[in-house]
Amino acid sequence: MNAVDGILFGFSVALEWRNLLACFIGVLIGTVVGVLPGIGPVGAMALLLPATYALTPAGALIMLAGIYYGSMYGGSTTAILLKVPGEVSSVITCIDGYEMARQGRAGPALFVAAIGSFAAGTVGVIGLAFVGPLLSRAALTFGPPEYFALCLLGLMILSRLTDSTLSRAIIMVATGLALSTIGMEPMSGTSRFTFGFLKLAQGIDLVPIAMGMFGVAELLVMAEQKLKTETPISVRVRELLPTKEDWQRSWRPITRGSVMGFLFGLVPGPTAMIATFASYALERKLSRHPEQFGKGAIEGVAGPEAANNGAAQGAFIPLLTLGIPFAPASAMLLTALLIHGVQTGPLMMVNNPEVFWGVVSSMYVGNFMLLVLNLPLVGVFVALLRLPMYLIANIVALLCLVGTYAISNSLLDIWVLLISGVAGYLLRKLRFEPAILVLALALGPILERSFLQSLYLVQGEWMEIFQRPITAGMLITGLVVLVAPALLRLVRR
Amino acid sequence: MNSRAPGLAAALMFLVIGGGQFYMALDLPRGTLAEPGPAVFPLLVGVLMSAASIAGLVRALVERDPVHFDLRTDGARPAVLVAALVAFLLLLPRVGFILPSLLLQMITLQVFGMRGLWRRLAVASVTTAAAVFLFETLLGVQFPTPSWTF
Repeated sequence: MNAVDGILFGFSVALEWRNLLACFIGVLIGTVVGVLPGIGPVGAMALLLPATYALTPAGALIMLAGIYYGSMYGGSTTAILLKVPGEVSSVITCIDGYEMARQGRAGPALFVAAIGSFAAGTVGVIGLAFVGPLLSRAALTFGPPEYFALCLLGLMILSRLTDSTLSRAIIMVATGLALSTIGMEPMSGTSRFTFGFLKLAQGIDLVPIAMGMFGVAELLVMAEQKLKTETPISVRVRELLPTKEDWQRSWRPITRGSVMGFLFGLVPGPTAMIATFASYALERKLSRHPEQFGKGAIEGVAGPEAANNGAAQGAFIPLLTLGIPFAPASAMLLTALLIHGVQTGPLMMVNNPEVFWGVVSSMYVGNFMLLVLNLPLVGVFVALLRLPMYLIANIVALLCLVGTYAISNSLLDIWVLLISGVAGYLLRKLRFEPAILVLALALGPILERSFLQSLYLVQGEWMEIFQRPITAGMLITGLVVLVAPALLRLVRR
Repeated sequence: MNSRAPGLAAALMFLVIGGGQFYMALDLPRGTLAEPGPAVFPLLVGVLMSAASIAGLVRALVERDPVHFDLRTDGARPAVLVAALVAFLLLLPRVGFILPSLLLQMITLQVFGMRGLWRRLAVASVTTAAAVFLFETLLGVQFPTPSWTF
């Protein structure tokens, strides 16, 4: 199936009424999650996992993917109207978006953010449709050593892309990998580190850990800071349309941001956030009026908003083509796919074309829904922001607990949720990055299996692993990423 | 704690965890390089964590901008919330969902600043009823049945 046939087939899947409904629910929840503080897209995806059991694998993934990119839309609303980023990837939008809102131009800022996100979604779908099959074909030549090197490369890049120091990042990687060793060893089935708990033989579930680290920990941070409900700047639907000059100043940043975001999304780590910063810096450099940045320049909203959505779409490529999650949200999608019995990896496109192409095309449908939904209903989402913080926190707390329990009716899962929530709170206070831990936990089983298979393959001659060109290339790249900042510092001195 | 203590304590804790994993993995079959056993990967992870923790310890000692965190002042409200969550978990298998849910929500609402006992009770009751309807009635989740034993 070529890319065009694939997209058309995907639309036939995405436009089935059940999948349309799943997509609508996903993007709606994603927008709400993006607008409200507390739970975040990863937590929301984890919460809705049990609700996807009744859906087909394609429907489940369409809904969960909708939450992820929908949250990118929602995050910009609070950034523009409140100067509070709903998501980390909307931080940069606060600068010029909020300034525009203060000058009475909240409508054009919201409109350009929505159009930018839609354009990035379009670029993302085209990119997914054309790059995905190419990467899948390339991945068919991968053996265990290449998968081992790819996972290692992902973790190395991730260690460098976050705010943590290298030692803190490696500690988080090692902790995630250590947690992934609990349960049965992938080759022999030997039980490890179960401490007498039968359920632990199946390994530590990603869901309670992710919910704890992102949901409960956020709740504890909110409790500490005693966040108050803010009053957002009001905006009327008739004030939404941008002027001709706004359009002229926005379309180039939107185009550049979409492509840049998509490319950033292919790389492991918090790339949606990094893409927004890169886009903002680029637009400021290219602008004829750099002095307006920080004072309400529309380019400062258009570029970054396109970039964060582009990155969200690009992040699906490693998951759908290689079966490797490079972001916590992708790890949740991988969990959903495994629950639904879908084997991820390069053969997914052949064995489950309805899932691959259905999800790719649904992103276009979902982005269109978001555009139609978000602009006229901006008042409704703004009204959500007026909800008292105690109500939001109360609902988030209950949803985290009951949602986690609902996944496998297990009390042990809620204990894991609570422990990881407290750990996540303390880790944040101590400047560790819990997202690295979650991703290492997701990558751990793939890394261990491919590592052991590689050793079997080369009959213990471990140097042979590093003599394969792709493996060597990936590991050298990873090492360069790890040591380059330290070397640069030395050179500057 | 306006000192290096939190950073040092964290690095030490991870050193203990890494060392602990290494020690426990020694009990597992190690196999050979050609046929590696279940101990190999945990042993490597234990070494990685221990090495990174030692680097973290050194860094915490020389860090110019140490972590500022005082659990007694910063962590007071979160601690109340954690206590409420623990109480929920302990009560859930014994008395079922409704009472622990009401208790947890009453405390959560207070921690986040909602005034008035009866208002908190009203909100908690409505949310509990909604959760039972959504999860038990619609999604078929089976909450633990009360055992009434302590």
